[in-house]
Amino acid sequence: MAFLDFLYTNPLQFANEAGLYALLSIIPLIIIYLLRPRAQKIKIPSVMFLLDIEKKKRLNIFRKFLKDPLFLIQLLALIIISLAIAAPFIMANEEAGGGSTVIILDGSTSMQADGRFSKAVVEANKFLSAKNTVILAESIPVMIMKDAPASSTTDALNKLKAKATGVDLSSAILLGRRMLPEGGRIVVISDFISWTGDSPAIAKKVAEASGIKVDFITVSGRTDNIGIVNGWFESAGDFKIAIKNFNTDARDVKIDVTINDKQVLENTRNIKGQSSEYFSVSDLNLNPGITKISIDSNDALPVDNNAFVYMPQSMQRDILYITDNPKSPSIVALGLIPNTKVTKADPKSIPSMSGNVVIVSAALPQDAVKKLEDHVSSGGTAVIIASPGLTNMNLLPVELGTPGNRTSLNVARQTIITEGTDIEKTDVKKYFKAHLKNGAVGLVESGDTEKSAVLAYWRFGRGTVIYSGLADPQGNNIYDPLNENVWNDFHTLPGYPLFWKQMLEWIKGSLDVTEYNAKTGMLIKFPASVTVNTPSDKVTTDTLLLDEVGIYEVPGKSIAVNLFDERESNLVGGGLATDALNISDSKEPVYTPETIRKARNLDIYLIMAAMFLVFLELYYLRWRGEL
Amino acid sequence: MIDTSFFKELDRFSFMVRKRVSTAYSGSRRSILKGRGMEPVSYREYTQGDDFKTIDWKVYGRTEKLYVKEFEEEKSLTTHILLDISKSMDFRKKFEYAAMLALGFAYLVTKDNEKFAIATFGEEINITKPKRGRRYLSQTIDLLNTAELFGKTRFDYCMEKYASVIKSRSLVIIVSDFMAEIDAIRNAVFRLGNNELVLIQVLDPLEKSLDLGGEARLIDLETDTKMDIYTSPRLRTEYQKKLNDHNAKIKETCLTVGADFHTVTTDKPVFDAIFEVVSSREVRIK
Repeated sequence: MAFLDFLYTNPLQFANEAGLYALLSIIPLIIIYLLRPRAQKIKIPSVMFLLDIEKKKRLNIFRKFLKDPLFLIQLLALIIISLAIAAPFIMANEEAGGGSTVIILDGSTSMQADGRFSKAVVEANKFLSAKNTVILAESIPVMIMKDAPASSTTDALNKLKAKATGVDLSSAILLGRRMLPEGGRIVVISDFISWTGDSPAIAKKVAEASGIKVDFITVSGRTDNIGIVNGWFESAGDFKIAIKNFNTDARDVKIDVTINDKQVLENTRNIKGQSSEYFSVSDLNLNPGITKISIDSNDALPVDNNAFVYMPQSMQRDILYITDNPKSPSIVALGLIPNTKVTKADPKSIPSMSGNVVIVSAALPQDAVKKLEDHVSSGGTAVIIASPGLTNMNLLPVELGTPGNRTSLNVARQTIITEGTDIEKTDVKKYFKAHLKNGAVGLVESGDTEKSAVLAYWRFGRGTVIYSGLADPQGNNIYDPLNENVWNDFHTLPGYPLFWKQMLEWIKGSLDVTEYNAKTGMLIKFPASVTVNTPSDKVTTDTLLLDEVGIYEVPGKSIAVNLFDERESNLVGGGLATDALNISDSKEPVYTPETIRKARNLDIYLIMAAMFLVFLELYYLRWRGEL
Repeated sequence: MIDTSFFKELDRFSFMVRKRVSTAYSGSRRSILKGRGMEPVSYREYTQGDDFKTIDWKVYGRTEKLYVKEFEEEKSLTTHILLDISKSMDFRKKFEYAAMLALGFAYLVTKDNEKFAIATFGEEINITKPKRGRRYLSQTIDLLNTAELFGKTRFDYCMEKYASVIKSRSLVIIVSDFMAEIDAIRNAVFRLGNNELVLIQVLDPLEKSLDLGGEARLIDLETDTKMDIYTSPRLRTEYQKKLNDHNAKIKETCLTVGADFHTVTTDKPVFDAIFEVVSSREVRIK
C-alpha cells in the first residue's frame, strides 16, 4: 500500500515521450513469433522416454505458464528498452544538494579550551544528513570522511579531538565547496577567535556564489589563560620562552624545568595582566635530551602550559685543539660557536683524540704525529694550521716549502668554508710556499705567480685533513700590524669567526637545533611510509602533520613540537569583528537540510534490467546447450 | 521388400562366415548329452538295465567282462526367431532391416539343414511350426513381405505364449526395438531364459540421436500420443541417457540368464550386424 501511495503521489512521467514509439518494436517480434514455421510433425516409434523427461519438467510451476521462455524474455527486454528510451522519471522529495553536508570542525588549539570541541561535536551531530563529509580544520584542512551516512559520521565525530595547531578556516570551506554539488550545505563550527589565511567570511561568500549554503555555528567557553606563547634558541645553547598572562589581573606563575624527567630548575614569576615575561634556560647544549618547561596555571587551555626542547647527542661538537699558544684567536672563535666544546691540549701531552675534530696549531712530536695519522686514518678529521715550527708531514695535503713574504689571496674553489668570509681581503705578510700533493684539493691560493696553496684538503685513509696556511698570531699584541709574530691579519676580519663556524659545519655537517624543535602546524614529508610515535599515538604515514604538543619520534630522530602561537593562546580573541562573519548567536540554526522536489531518473534502472534479461537469455540458451 | 538378391548376398556371406566361424553355429554343434548315436566315445562296465545291444562282445572275448559302449547323442538345435511387428517397427526401414536380420539367421540355419521358425509378435503372436528347407524359407519371406505392422508390443503375453510351445532347449532370437516397459521385457527374458537366447535391438539412427533440428510435434506410432518439443542439445542428452539406461537394464537382465543383447541401427550393413551376433556367440562357445 505504501508503494501504491508513493506511485499515486509521484506518478511516472516521461522526459522523452516520443521514445514510447519504440514500444512498437514489440509488434514485429510478435509477428515473427506468429509467422515462424510450424513445428514439423514427426511420427516416431516411441515417446516413452520423452514423456518421462517432460513429466519432470511439468512439475515446475513456471513452465506451465512460460511455454516459450525465450519469447517472454525478448518481449520484456524490448518493452524495458523502449521505456528506457522514453526517459522515465518520478518527482520525489529530496534533500537539497543530494542530501550532502560538509561539516567543518575547527580543530585548532583554542577549541581545546573548556570543552569547546565537545560542544562543537554535539552541534555537528545535529546537522547530519544523508551524505556527510567531515573536515577537521587545522593549519591545513584534514579530511576525516567523505559522503558517509549519518550513523558512521556520528561515530567518527565522537572519536575526534582538537589538535594543537592554528586553523585555516577559509581553506577548509573552499575544500568543502569543491566536494558539494549546487544546493549542498557547509556547516562551520568554530569559536571564530583566530585563523590563518583568508577570512572565513570571504570563503563563505565564494561558496555561496556556487549555490552552497554556508552556516557558521559558534561555540564558546572560559577565556582565562596564561600560556607559553613563544620560544627560541639564543647563542651557546640558551633557550628562551615568553610567557603571557591573557587575564586582566596579575598572576604568580610557577615555572618548572626538567631535563630528561629530572627537575633542574624552579622559579616563580609575577606576570601582570595582558603582559609577557621572558624566562631563559641556559646551556641546553650541554644537556642532550628532552627539556620540559612547564608553567603551573589552572586555566582554560592547558596545552600551552608546556614547552619542549629537544637537544640531540650529536649536537655537541667536541674539538681537541693542540697548541702551545693559549691565546690563539681561533680558540676564541671556535668557543663562540653554539654547541661546541673546545678542549685545549699541549703537544707534549695529548689526550685521546677519539670522537674529536683535532685542530693542530703547533709543531708536533713524532709520536703525536703518529697518533694523529691513526686518528685520521680511522675516519677522524684534522685541521692543521700553519705555525712557524710546522714541518712536512705525510698527513698534510701540501708539500711545504720555504716561507714567502707578502702576497694576496684568491679563492680557487668556492665552498661553504670561505663563503662570506672575505678571506681574499686578508693582508698576508708571511706564509709557507706550499704545493698541492696529488689528490689534494686547493680552496684558497696565493695571488702570486706560484699560486701556493693556502687552504687545501685531502682524504687520508678514511678521514680528512685540512691545511690552513693562515697562521694564527703568536704571543701578545696580536693586533699590532708591526708585530713580526703576526703573519696575517685574517683574525682581525669580521669573517674570521664565520670561517671557523663554516669550517666545522663543512666537517660535521650543519647542525641546526630547529631541525629538532618545531612548531605545530608544520608538515613533514617522508620519501616512503614510516611509523611515527606521536605524543599520543603511533601512526604510519608518508606525510606527517605536527598537530600535537610534545615529542614526535620519527625514524632517525626525535622532534620537540610546541604550540608557540599567541593568537591561539588568546582565548578572548583579538577583537575580531564577529558581525563580519554574519554569525547570529540569538537565532536558532536550521538543522534539517532543505527539501526540494527533484526528478529522479529511472532509465538507468531500466537499462540494468534490460541487461539482466539479455544475460538471462544467454544463460537460458547455454542451459539448453545451444551456446 | 525383401527379394532374391538378398539371398545371393547371403550366399556369399554364408561362405565367409563358415570360413571364419567354423562349427560355432547351431545345427553342426556337438551335444554334451550322451545317448544313441553313431560314434562311440567311451566304455563302461555293464549294469543291470543297460541295453544288450550296447555290449561290446569283442571286449568281452578279450576280458571276460561285460562292457557297454557309450555313444554321443547327436542332437539338432531348433532356432526360433521372434520378430516384432508392432507399429513402432513401422519407422522408415526399421522393420525391413529387422526382417532381413531374421531371414539372415534363418538362412544360416537352413544351410545346416536345421529346423527354424519365424514367429511375428505384437499385440498377439503368430506361432509357426519349426521346419527345415529352402522352400520353408521362401514361404517365410512371403509371410514377412505381407506382414501388417500394428498395435503395441505385449512382450510379457507373447513370450509367455511362445515359451509354452518350445519343447526342448532351443536357440531363441528376438528381433525388436524393445520399446516397451522394462518389466515386461524382463519377464519375457526370464520366461525364455532356459533356452539359448539372443536379443537384437533394432533402432533407427534418428531414434537413437533424436536429432530433429529444433521444434517438432512428435506423434507416437503405437499410442498416437502427441508431444510438442524443442530438441535442444540438453533434451537430446537427457533422451539418450534415458535410452541408454533402458538398454542397460535389458542387458543386465540378459546377463542374469546368460543371454546376449545387441543393439544395431539401420544405417549399419545388415551382414555386419549378423556377423557381429554370430562372432559374439562363437566367443561364448569357445
